[in-house]
Amino acid sequence: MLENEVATLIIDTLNLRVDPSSIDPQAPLFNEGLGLDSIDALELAMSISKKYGFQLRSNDENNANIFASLSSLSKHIESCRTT
Amino acid sequence: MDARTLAGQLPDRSCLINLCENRYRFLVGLIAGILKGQKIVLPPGRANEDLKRLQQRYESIYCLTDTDTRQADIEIHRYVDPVCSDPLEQAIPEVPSAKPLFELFTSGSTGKATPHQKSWGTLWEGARLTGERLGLDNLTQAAVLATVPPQHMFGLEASILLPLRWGLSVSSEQPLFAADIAASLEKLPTPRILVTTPFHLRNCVEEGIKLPQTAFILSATSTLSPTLAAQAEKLFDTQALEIYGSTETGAIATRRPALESDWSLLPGITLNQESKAWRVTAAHLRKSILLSDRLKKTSEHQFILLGRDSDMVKIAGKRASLEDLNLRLQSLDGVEDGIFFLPDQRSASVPRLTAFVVSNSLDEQEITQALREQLDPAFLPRPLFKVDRLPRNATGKIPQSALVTLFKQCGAKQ
Repeated sequence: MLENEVATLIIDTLNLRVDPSSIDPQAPLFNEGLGLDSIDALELAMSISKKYGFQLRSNDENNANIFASLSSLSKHIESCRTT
Repeated sequence: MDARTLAGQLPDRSCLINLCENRYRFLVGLIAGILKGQKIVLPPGRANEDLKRLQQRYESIYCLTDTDTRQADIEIHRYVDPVCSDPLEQAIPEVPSAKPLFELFTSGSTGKATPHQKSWGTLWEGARLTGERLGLDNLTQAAVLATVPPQHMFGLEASILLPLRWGLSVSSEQPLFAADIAASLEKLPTPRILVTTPFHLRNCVEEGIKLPQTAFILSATSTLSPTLAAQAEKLFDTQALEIYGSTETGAIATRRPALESDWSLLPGITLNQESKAWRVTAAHLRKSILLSDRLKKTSEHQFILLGRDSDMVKIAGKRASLEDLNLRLQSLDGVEDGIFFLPDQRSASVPRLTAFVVSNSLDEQEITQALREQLDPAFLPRPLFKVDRLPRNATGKIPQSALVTLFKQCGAKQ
């Protein structure tokens, strides 16, 4: 499952030490949920471009939408990946 | 003028929290608030807790926002783009220069955000000094793109005050990712100025993106390394300049890290040593200010930075006191003992704190969850290690060397 893979990528990139299966796919990754900030988003963007071969774009003002949840991030990666 | 239209719609209160994310709306909101004689409050964060604290501080306060739909206990005024009938009809408003019109925050050593008052005169004169140093008198046609929010001192100075003072135009966007920064810059006429941070810049360099031509890149919030600055200058065929300052002082010095390690003070700013600390004095600052950085003067107008007070850490551009972070960690229900530690992460791109915690009843995730409610995400430990006990010595203190060893042991177990 891509969602598990992305969860692991998030945890490894950001040194979070939580169990991948404990991330609620629908919960927000930022602020409330995992408590990530925009620096984390940039770190993740770099890991994602290395692993999946595309550069994250936020499309207008939707920075927040891509990272809204593990599920939305995984869907975005699925539709954009080149590797 | 949009600002006059908006001023007519704003509620009659004494303080306005300007949370607008679109930079144009932020600017209109700021001017509208000034026209209405309201104090402009720029909060340390958007969390409900931050807003609640402000509400306790001021009775007559409300939020102006263009995006936030969250239910809050505070009065919200939604920004609706005003319909402007005759843009040229109105004169530019006169702003009282000495009145404390703005309030910004720093995380003080007690952990509570400390408010700082700014007058229009202070900000306006600061923008003149910085702009002259950056050569803006020859760049008055320039357009500014900023990747930082206007609610913090650097963003306010560089993306709002500099353009107002020097007649530059400003993009309303605040791109985050490298590809977005390139696209937003592309939309602007030349000459362009990019106001950003080392984090965004590193992302652009590592993604191998080609940024459109800029007159210069202006960076602040954390140190721009000479290596990254040189890479950025070469890749993007520009100059990478850096600002040194603080919320208390505003910008006070600049340098070009690819070529020089010394900071050059802005004209009219003086540094005087007081025992171990340095005091900043300038005509446009209401009072002189003691810096929390250690530095060494290399000439009358130049200095190098040596580091911060050992108790203060700066993570992702935000300051906190380690002692305060430790206190908060140790005060959590179910935590017996705990300490934060900033590992020496030369290889890591952004330094992050780690923490060692002793607890019988909570696991790592539960402790992290409890901390999340207390701290800005920047200071959350990445990672947090649970340990049987902390290496306290006979006097109850924990030597730094013991933490380094403990960090190595915990890292090896992972």
